[in-house]
Amino acid sequence: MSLLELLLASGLFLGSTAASLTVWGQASVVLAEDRDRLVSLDALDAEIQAGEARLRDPALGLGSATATCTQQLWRLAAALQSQPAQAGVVRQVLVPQGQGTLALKLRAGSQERVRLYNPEAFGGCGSGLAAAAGESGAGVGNDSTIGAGGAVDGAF
Amino acid sequence: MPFLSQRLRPPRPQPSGEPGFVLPLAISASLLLLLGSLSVQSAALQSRLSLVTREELRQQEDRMISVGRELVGGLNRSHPCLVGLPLASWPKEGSSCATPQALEAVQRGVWEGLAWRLVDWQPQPDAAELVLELDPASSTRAPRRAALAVLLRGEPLRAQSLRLLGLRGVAP
Repeated sequence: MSLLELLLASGLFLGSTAASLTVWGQASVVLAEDRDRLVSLDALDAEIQAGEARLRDPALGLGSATATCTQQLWRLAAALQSQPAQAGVVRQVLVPQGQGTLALKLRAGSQERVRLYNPEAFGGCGSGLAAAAGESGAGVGNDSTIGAGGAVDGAF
Repeated sequence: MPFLSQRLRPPRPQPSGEPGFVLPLAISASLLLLLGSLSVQSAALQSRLSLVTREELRQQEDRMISVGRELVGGLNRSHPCLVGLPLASWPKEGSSCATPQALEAVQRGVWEGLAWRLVDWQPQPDAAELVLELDPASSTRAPRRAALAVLLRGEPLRAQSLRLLGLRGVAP
């Protein structure tokens, strides 16, 4: 064993250790990010499931022959907002004016999910969309947004 | 006895220029470290790939369910006579509640910037199978199809609720 061999061996070992540590560090960062994203994904899943479960509540009156589309939309928006959101999930209930639909927008971390709710898809409304639009006729130009705190930013 | 004298001779000391055990040991250890880190790296990449796939799947489910709700909402609202008819019968038997232009319009649309089309609608007495095709968000991906089960109730028949049965890609 010569000094040259010792130097070569040390250099090789140190170099591979440094490279290996770098790769391990990057991998651990990726795994930590993935763990956070997985938590967000699960929270969004739970929030979507909870929203879908609320649709089955008979008190909501979806598909009712007596409630107009507008009434059903409001009930639906209120029902989707009635429970606290999952931890880390920001929930927005958007009601674009004149479309007769409601969009549930959920955000957790970098992920976002949007699901559309159309009261007419649950058996129809008590009156036509035109009548519902006539009832709503508040003439507000902006879409309605109900944030996670339940504040109504507009009206439809 | 030259043979015996050779055997009894003490071992010759190793010359200083001859390689010893340190360099092979360092090479082996380095290889082990690199193999280990490669394995960890591939595990991390696999985890990321699986997560991205799951995220995309969830978004596609959301799109398909949203488009399905939009479609059956439109049927309930404007063309209730089509609810009980299979798609192939719409042009003939559906003319009572939908013009040819309306029939064309109800079978395709755009949601969140992605074009969709109705591929099939097969009603049974209390349920219908709905097949939708949605253009991919990226041009490098194949279109996706979804099968949805739609609960039918009432007289006249109305779509009541729907749930996703499955998603699959479509060969271009």
